Amino acid sequence: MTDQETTTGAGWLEVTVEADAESVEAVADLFSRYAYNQGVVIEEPFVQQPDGEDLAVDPTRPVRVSAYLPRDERLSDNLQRIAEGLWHLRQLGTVGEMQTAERPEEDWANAWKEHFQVTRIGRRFVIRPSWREYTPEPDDLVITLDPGMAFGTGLHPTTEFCLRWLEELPVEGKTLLDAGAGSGILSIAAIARGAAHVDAVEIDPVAVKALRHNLDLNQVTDRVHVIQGDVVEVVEPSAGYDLVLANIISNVLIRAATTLAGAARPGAPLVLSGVITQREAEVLSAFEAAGCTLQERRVAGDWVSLLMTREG
Amino acid sequence: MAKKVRAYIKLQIPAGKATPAPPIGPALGQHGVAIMNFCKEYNERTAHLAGQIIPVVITVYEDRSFTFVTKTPPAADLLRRAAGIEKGSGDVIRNKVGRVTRDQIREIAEIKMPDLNAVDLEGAMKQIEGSARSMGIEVVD
Repeated sequence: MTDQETTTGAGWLEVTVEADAESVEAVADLFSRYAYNQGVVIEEPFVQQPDGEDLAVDPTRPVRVSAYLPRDERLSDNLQRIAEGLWHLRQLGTVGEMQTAERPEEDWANAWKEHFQVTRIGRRFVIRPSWREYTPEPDDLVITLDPGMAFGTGLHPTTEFCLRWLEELPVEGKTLLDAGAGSGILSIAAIARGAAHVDAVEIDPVAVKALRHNLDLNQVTDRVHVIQGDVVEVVEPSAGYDLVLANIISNVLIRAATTLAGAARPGAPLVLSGVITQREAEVLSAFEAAGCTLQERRVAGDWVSLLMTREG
Repeated sequence: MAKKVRAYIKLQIPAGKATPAPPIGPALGQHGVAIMNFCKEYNERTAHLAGQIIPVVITVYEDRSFTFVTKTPPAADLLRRAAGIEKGSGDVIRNKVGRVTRDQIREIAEIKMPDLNAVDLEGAMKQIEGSARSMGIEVVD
């Protein structure tokens, strides 16, 4: 029977127990000894208001602790040891019965992809996950994306802000900087809008791989130049870009303010995104100190995007 | 305006080594989180802590976006290190597998303090002592 299961491949057994808060640590420790990669999942029950406010752990309900055991020759031994360990822990606290469930690999390997649909952003941009079909309307600008490895699926407000700015600002024939390019979504969108050239700067090697892959998917490699490195170190200080897009995080934006402002030609717009409202004032003052003026701000939830111009 | 939370999950996983394999794949995939996206960010933030178990609490929102915060290592992990043992006891009542001093308990309580719901260090130490007992580790003066 074991042979058969091995040949069908991809077997995992999910082991779960419910425990009181005091026993969770010990149960998790027991599980981690036998679990794949020592990994343990702890789900504390929570309560929240309908709009998601006031999320709080509900101490009146038990905590669920789970682990995954590979279906290999040690499985029955490991289950036996876990069962014994749980028996001992029951002498000290409230620990429920062990439950097991089969978890074939295909359950999750592609499950998350179900949630990434073809998405329209603004009037013309359409984000198409690479595994989905889409027949474009005449005016559509389709961006094909494999979001697996890098930030920037267009589903996040910070990315959506930038796409909307790209639709509204003059882009045709321009030279752009995409600082913190991630998946490459903005570089691709800029080219789709008719930009002449984009320099895409990304520090993370994993993201750079995804970025190149996405540029390839969209056949824009000849117009997007990928630069791997820290924005502060690799961006040419007087490059004279017609538009600077920076969808990073507040800390990096603040640190790179002088570089980014300097890289824009006088009078050119800068789009700053990835900023949470709590850090907005700091980001704004860093760019004002670097010679930029605020033109417009847009807010969605906790996120804010700033449109600034470099003073002439 | 807050977004509605779909799931609130704590994972205890080795720092810097997150992969789409279990437990991360099944735990996050069922909620629509782009698994590689999480792994990449977690590994980035924890690479310098390699060798330790660094728990992470992930909040998944209705729109499949997520945030996460890393926590201090599990008390059990810190206790094992303090006691110099590889694993806790299978029979915690009769079989003591190691011992830690009260000073070590205090040190661990100080590390864990930000993540415990204890009102003071004394309370935190009590919780850590409880964890030690449940692992078959004796606490000595």
